[in-house]
Amino acid sequence: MTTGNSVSGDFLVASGLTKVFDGGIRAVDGVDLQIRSGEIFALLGPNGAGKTTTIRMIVTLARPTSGTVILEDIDVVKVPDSARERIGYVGQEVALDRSLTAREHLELQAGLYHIPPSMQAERIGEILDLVELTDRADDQVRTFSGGMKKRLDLACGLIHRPRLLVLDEPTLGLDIQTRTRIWQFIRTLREQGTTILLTTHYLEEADQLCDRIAIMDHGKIQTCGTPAELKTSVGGDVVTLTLVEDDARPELEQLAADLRGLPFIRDVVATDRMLIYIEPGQDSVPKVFKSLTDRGVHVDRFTYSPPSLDDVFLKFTGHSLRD
Amino acid sequence: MLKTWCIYKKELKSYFISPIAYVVTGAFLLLSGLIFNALIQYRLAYMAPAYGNMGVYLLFIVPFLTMRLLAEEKRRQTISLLFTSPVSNTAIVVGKFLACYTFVTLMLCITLIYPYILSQFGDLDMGPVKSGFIGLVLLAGCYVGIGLFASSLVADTMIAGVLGVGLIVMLYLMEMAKGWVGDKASVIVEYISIYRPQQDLLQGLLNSKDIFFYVSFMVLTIFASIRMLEANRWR
Ligand SMILES: Nc1ncnc2c1ncn2[C@@H]1O[C@H](COP(=O)(O)OP(=O)(O)OP(=O)(O)O)[C@@H](O)[C@H]1O
Ligand SMILES: [Mg+2]
Repeated sequence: MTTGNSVSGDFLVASGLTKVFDGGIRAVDGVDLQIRSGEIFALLGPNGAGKTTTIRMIVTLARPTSGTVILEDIDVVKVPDSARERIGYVGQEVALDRSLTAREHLELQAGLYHIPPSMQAERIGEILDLVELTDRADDQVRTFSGGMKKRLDLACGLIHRPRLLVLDEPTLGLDIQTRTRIWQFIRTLREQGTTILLTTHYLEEADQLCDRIAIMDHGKIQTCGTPAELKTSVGGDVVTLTLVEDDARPELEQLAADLRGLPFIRDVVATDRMLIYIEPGQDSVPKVFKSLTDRGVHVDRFTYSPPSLDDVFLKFTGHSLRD
Repeated sequence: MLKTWCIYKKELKSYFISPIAYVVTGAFLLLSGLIFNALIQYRLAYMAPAYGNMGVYLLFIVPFLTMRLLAEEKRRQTISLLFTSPVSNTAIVVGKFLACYTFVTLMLCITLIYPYILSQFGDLDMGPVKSGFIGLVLLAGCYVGIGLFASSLVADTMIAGVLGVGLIVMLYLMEMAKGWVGDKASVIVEYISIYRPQQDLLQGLLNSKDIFFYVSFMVLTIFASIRMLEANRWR
């Protein structure tokens, strides 16, 4: 096994990664990523942002229109087979054969990654334990629940102990309990030294699970950093207001433009609610309320919080991920 | 090699648990049983007519067995498990081809019971039976190859099946039509026809040239399927 990391210490480096589909759709447009060894890295973005396409290029399922992917010391596009040995991939859709059992799936995978038959049984046992499917190992997949299928899918990507595990929306459509469980597996794997690249459009997932996040929209990386760094980059705290419906109230857009001019306010975003980014400082909040009252605006509800990832998202893409 | 074996094992196993495979096998055995029954009724002590007909049944039966080989994996995305693993397209295609061919051959072996029964009734010339059976197995291999190729073209199981039947029927019609196309054209048809050697084989003439022809045909379809898969793997 190679440990020849590139000079920068990055584990995976994508540079200028671009994918243009037939018909001219630029699904991924000049993406640069540096993923460090042993971290959980997330691509966060709304539907259609280009996350899956980016990942498919990294796991050798799609050929980049241009750009390179270097994993440790190998060029993924030029020597896909060596890359495949080191990468485990779990796709967005569950990819299982309904008529096979969990164990049969793992046996096939083990064979494909030429794990010697003498080691297979032990390895499969370990993985089944990890994803907690030992007692259902010999049941056909058709009898599995959604969460069990997802866990088996994960197990299939893990059988060869990949150095890089790539997960496309690992918790999409799962309930909170299963999601937490999968987060737990992912953390365990990281502790065992696996580097993890995942995509998600769940803010909490990116925030709680991941070491670093790249925010992706319209095929481009808008910003990248740890959750804390990203939040700090928004600066100041956020006051979120729901206003009382009132005929006398000025138009939201008008009001927002008006408020933006005030010195203690950094930015205002009006959607159905109104988000006011304020300068740090004791008296900013009371000043906000005062200026609202002065304009004849009544506040129905408000929250006051440090910036969330959604605020980061909003700042860099101009729209909320929650919409 | 080892990976081909893995894929082979998995595919063969899935035939044995697939309801479609059983229905198809049942249908084939029923149809060939009816023909065999007619042979007994007319007290014909040779298998040639039965093998001739079974060749036609297989035309419709085999694509049902090949249709899911690649198309289903593409539809269900399970193909990405293969594509992201360090396994070659050749191993995938060859493993799947051999698995299906094994299943079809086993199915054909069941029909060996018919000549056995015939031989109990009277004198059965075993020469044509042997070569006829080998001919049938070789023809079936070509069908498997064509069906697999059809499956490599599309991502929908049913369409792969229909396409497979379509391709084989085309070859069959070419054979039928060779009487009324021009001399030159019929020479070509003759040369590439998978049906031409059948006449000889049914009469007990087994020669290595025909066997070589059938094997080459199978290799050709396998090769074509590999190329198609290659085009799919990196998009
Ligand atoms: N095979 C394809 N051919 C043409 N266009 C495609 C293809 N695959 C994806 N696209 C387009 O590329 C864009 C990005 O798609 P992609 O699947 O990468 O987004 P995503 O971020 O994974 O979204 P989601 O959260 O919905 O999974 C979309 O506009 C999509 O329509
Ligand atoms: Mg996606």
